[in-house]
Amino acid sequence: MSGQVNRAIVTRRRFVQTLGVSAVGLLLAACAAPAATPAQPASTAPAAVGAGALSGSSIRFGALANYKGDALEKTFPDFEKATGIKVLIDKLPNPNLADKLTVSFASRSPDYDVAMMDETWIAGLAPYLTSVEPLVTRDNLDLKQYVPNGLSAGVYNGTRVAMPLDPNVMMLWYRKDLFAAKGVVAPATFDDVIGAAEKLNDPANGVAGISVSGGQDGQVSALAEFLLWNAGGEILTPDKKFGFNGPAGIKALQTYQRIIKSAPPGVLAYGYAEQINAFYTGKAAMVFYWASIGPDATNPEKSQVAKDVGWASVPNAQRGVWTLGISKDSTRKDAAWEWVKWITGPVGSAEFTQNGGGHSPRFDVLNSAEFAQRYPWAQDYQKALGGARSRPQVSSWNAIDTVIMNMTTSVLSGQKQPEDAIRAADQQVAPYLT
Amino acid sequence: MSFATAAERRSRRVDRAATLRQRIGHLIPFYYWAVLPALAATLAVVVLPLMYSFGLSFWHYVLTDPRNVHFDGLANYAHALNDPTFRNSLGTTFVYGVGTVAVELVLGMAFALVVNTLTVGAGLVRTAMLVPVFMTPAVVAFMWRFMLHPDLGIVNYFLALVGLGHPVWLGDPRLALPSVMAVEIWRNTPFMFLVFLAGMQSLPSELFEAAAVDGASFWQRFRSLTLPLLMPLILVALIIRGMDALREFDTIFIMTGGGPGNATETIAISTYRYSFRNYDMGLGSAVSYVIFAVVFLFGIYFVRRMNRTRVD
Repeated sequence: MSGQVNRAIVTRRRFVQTLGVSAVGLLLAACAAPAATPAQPASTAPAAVGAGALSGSSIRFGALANYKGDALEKTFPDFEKATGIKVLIDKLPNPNLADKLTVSFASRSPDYDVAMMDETWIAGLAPYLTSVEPLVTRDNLDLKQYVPNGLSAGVYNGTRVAMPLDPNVMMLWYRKDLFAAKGVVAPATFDDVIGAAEKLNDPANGVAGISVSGGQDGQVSALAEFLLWNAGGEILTPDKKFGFNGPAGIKALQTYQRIIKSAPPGVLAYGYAEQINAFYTGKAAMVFYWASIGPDATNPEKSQVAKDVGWASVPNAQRGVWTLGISKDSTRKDAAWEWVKWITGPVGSAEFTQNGGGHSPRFDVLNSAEFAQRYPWAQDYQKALGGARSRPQVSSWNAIDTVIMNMTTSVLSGQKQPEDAIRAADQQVAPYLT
Repeated sequence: MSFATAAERRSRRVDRAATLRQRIGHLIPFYYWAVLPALAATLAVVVLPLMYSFGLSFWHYVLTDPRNVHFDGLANYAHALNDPTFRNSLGTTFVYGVGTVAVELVLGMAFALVVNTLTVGAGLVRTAMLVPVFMTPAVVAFMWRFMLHPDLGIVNYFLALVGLGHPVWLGDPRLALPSVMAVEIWRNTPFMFLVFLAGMQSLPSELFEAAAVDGASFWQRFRSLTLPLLMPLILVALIIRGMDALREFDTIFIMTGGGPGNATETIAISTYRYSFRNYDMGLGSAVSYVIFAVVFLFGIYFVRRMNRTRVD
């Protein structure tokens, strides 16, 4: 009996020892390099495959879960009829789409063949995207048909890795009736916008001069960046320094502080939804927001002030182009390219805009009567897009943008003075600029 | 010289296999082999990912910069500890954790004492008290975010009726942290209440009757009997809620996103920011292990206190 007990004790020890050795082995294995380094973007085009040969194939498409994704989905039957290729869409809300694309593409076994990407994601995703340059050449795509300021969004480090789908740009949306009642003319510059906001601000009657975001939201950094450009600064200087760290940055934040004095009382908790809702419900005389709200702002079912809505382009407005790219690890690149080519081509793009998905990157669609009828602000939109500015193409943009957002909200909420907030932000951004 | 027949060779092979089985059986008894599948599954789904992420915390690994993956030693830990935002989030986490758990403890105990003395309607009160616990944290966060909305929220509606204005609960840095803490307290006080009530109802009534006969007041009975007898339960509740509070993410993320500025950014929000805003998996992992260390030390402290209490 005692012998059995002794044997059991020895065995247990050995068992634990074996486990310990295995654990150390596993730990060493875990400390191994996390992922293989991907190669450069593919520079050679796959051999041309006729659209007919691709009939019956299917592609996986990661897209936004909003009206844009819905509008894209409505075009699938026509695309399938034209090519025989089936598109399987997976719709995700904005921040989740970026996360899913990044993690999935980094795994080198992507969930999607085609990805819908905001232009600021391209620098980070470029290592996982195939170059579409050879495909453009092979299929003789007429790039002159594309708005230059939309087309440039898909180029990273001199290589075209995405095609423009829907160029968005910030515009001013205002109440014509309130402007007329106070004798204010439509602003031409953002200084005019601020002046008009101060004149129209009427808290006693529950109408603010302008609606902006002041809470923890991406629109806060977007406006801060725009104000920096307006003050003559750059987000990143040519020598890769944080552009807010200087007089222009201080002026930008001080201007933001001035603007929120003419905003609704709860502006410090406003995200994009509250920002546009305040305008739709008549609580603000103006909203400086993306052109994509045009259809809702002028729709009486969505906006209580629809019939009085006017619009104007503002110089230096921020650009935000939605693009389409093809995964480098996709096994269905030809079919994926057919979809990208079709939806950014004359037929697909026109359908997308008529389905209410957004604007077109193509002159032939933008200048059509159908587009002008559905998007009456087409002329101002083109003017705004033509003079729009883009954010820096750096792979760490998300991190920098978050710092700008936190810096701005800390100033707006009175936690820090602009100078102190900028100094702190400069320290936080520095590691991402090396 | 004679050669072994096929049958003899087969017999020797069988003998050798049996001997091997015996030796292995001698070395590692069967019952250890029996737990091996479960052990392997646990290793695969629990231990391996933990080790992988621990290994990752020593690497420079940014998903959007895959050509620059390299071993970085303790650089991620150094980066996190030198980052003023992260240091600030450690402080915020401490205030959030200690503040919410302390208030939950006091309120939970008070409610349990009251309900324990109820003779009518105790079941109804108990059920009603439990509603917040059963609600999904994300739903609770959205519900309160809307209720605290500066323009449309019901809280400001009533405050305005009595002339208290329209506080911007989630946008004012002085109010944002107390607001999210209040929501956390609302959601988790019922847990404390339930634990303490169950504990009180299992205490021997003779002790309390004897104390009452000896003329002990309610407060004396509570201080000298209820509290000491409930101490092991109190420590368990503190461990569970404390660890939850230190890891809290969803309520804060939905209500304030860590803002305004970094006013409500806890270490869990920092981890999210590093990992899924900046895609810095190395730094995100390092910060996760800092959280792990904090929770581990917290757990060790309370478990030791609990063991000492039991011995006493």
